[in-house]
Amino acid sequence: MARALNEIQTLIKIYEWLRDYEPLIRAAMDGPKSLKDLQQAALGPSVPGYHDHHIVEQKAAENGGASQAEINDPNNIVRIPELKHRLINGWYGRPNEGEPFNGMSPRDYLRDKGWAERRRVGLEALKLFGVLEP
Amino acid sequence: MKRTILTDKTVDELINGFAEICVAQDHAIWFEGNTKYKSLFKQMMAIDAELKRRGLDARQAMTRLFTHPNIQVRLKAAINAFDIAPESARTVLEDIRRSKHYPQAADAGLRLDVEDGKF
Repeated sequence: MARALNEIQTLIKIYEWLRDYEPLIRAAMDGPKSLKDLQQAALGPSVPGYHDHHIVEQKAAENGGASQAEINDPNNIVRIPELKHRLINGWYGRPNEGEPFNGMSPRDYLRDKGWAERRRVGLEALKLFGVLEP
Repeated sequence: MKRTILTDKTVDELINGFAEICVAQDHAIWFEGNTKYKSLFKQMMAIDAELKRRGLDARQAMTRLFTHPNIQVRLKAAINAFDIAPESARTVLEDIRRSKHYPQAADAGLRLDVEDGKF
């Protein structure tokens, strides 16, 4: 009887875990989308499993002197799977050998670059992580 | 592996050390964060520099990691040995990119895009 109760409790925990993480897992399975689709999705109400992502990183853009209007312009914001958002943020902070980063992290490489290069790298990152269509 | 003793290591020891560091990088990506990763990255690059200092034969030994079970080891071996074994390194990177195992798939794609003039 005790064993059966334990098994039921385990099943309930698995169900709760799946219920909590199901939106993240489902969103992470999205295939690449067009830039227009990703931008338009960000205009709607928030959706579980997705995050709004700045193509040109918000903090870096602020430090580079960009205005809030530029940073938060719908052209700079895309809605992407939350797990991919976390992976891309991590990637920006890790050093990367070879061109173009030459041992710097993308974030450090972009520190003295202008808006155009930051946007180019931001769009490439979305492609590399399978969010944006090539 | 500390930088100061790398010159005393055999090529096999350097290659094994490279693989150990890459496995630790994989762990750092998921569980320890970028500060730990940056430290491991420096150690990896120090080994790569020592192999380059020793010449082509030493660097060729890196290709034995192309079939390592850990994806981060295969990725870093293929990136760092691309110029001496471009065809087999490309095959490794294409397999990783196709796997969609992120973030390694993204880094493999980046290296291929750079090599192909697309980045």
